[in-house]
Amino acid sequence: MSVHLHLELPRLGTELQPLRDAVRRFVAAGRADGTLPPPSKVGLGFEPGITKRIAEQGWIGMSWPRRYGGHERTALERYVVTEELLSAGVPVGAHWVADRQSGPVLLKFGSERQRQDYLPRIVRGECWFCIGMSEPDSGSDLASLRTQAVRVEGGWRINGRKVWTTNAHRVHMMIALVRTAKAQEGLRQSGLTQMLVPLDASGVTVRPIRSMVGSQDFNEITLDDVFVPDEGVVGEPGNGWNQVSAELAYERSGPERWLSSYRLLVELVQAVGSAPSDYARMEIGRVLSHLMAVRQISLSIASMLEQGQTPNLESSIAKDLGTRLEQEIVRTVRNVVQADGVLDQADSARLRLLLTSAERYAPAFTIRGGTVEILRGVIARGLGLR
Amino acid sequence: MDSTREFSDMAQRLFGDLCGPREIEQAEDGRHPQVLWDAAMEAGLGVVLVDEGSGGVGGSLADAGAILRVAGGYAAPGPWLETMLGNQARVVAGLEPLDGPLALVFAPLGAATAPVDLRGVAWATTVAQVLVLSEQEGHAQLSVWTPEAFDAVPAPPDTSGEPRFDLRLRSQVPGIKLRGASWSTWFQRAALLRAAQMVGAIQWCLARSSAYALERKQFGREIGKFQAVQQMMAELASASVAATSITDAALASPENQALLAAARSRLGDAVDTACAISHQVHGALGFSHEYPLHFRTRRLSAWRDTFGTVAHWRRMLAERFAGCQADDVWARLTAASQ
Repeated sequence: MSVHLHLELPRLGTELQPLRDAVRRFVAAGRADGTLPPPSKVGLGFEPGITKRIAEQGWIGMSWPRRYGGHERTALERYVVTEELLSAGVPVGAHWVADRQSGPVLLKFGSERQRQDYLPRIVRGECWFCIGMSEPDSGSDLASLRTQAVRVEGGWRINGRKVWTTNAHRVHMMIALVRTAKAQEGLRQSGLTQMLVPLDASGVTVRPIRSMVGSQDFNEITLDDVFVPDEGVVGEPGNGWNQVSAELAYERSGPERWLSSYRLLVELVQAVGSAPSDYARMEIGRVLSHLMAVRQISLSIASMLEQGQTPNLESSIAKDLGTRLEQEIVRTVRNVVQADGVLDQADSARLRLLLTSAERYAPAFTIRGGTVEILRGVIARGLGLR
Repeated sequence: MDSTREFSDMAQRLFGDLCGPREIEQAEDGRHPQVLWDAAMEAGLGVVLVDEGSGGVGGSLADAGAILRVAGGYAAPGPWLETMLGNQARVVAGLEPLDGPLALVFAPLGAATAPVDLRGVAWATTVAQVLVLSEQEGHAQLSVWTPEAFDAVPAPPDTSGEPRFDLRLRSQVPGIKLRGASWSTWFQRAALLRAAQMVGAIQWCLARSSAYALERKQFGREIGKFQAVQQMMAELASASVAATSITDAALASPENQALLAAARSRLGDAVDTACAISHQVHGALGFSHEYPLHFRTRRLSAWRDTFGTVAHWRRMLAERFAGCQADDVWARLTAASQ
């Protein structure tokens, strides 16, 4: 038997280079004037002012149609901007979810009115989103979620709870996945629906959940008789699972799945200088080779998506490899700085801060957006084992 | 790309027909797989890298890589890579390409003189010639050792089990200066082709282990239905895709040393993963001589550190970033990937 795993070489035209250079100039200017300092912690920083500036560059909603304020550029161009910003540690957290998935979901499944209402504001960097999927009793088994919406005059009334909702305390909107009908026998994913919930709506309570990182990143959202009008339903009622699946495919192979701890690695490269120990060289060479391999996969997938192909299995592989590498980088950097006494150097403050932050953050890498175990189940299915 | 596909299909037919467990076993007993070899030479495999004007096929490194990937999948014994690249070197040196198998040895870079002793040369008593690439005054230099010019003593085999010999030259052999490519470039070509060969063997391990996980039943069901096995198989698939992806990129840009170094370093880990997991999934059967898994995994272990050890390629890759400021690493990394 043959295993059908196929990645084409990425087709990256030379026309991408000017865009890459433009982002690099943007970052360099921000480094120079102090508005975009090199990061000293892991995680997407949340800076509305920076989001606004990125919007002014035309780097939000890049591939969306002009009639919604988009810039009609290619998905590969968006990819280039994303990896450039993330590799420089630019705080893109405010618009991240809206740009990556909420906007595309509205574009693909939303009503004309929803697109007109939200997309131009997202593009301007003024409307930010969070993801309302996980619940206290539903994580990896998302279809078991219990937050329910019942039909009322002119719309729906939602009751339930969402958890681990990143940035819910400081964004405007959530796209919530809720149950609108009983699941059909043998089809647990049926009866789910996506709805737009403004986080200032009556009945919405956002409570912070402190994480082991220390900062307030995510939240619990209680939905208590929250009214969503019919025009707040995204796509067809009952089609939620299909829509969410489409969303996840885009969520799995992007540069955010292998660059989370990248800044830590490059600070190590700087700290060990031009004459690193042989141990440092071997370890840096090893993780760089893994990083380059994952980037090749990620680029191939972006290129294939651009050509209308849907390499979903390969996307799961990209996230499996990428997120495990993110953790491996943290362990490797720790091992090298400990073995070689790198932190004893006078100018190692940022490296020390990043390492502490990364060690506290690392467990999340292989959990968020689909655990490694779930992804490997998807891969095993692709191999014909399930 | 189409030509690469044709080479791959041709190799698939050739090795599929003529390279089974019997041929591999005989080769490990020291008998060169002559029938397979003759058919392959007939098909032009030995001169794939030689240009058409010199009696070759005029293929690219990617074409040769496509053939060697298939050969690796079949665990084809014999000095395939060495003969392909050796003939290319012979022609650059102004010599005719040969059908007889060739050994190809890289003398250490910067060595003051061409070596008179060689250790662990595979198939040295079977090959028509041993070709030695050394560096003299900034140029690659080819020395041709014919069988009557050296004494051969059997050397301990590597894990591939193919015969190896230590050689001592009876009298000095003159070197032929090679125009064009440097010693390092020749060495990189060998390393790149070895990468392709490893990818083929890893992909075979993935495909065979997946199939086996559905054939073998325990506790009343296929072992592939157990999550523990599924998770391992997914890890193997991921390693295979990572190694394939970076090797394909390196084959598409054969002059790119950073991509090659990354591919060989990444392959080092992928080989470890592929060997460990495919054996674990196969259980005792994969440990038996009868089952063909070990023909691949033993070769993977042997190939992993040839034409540059994994450590060599890691050092080489890291060296490109030594002294880099944090913010400058990215530009260097993306430039290296294009």
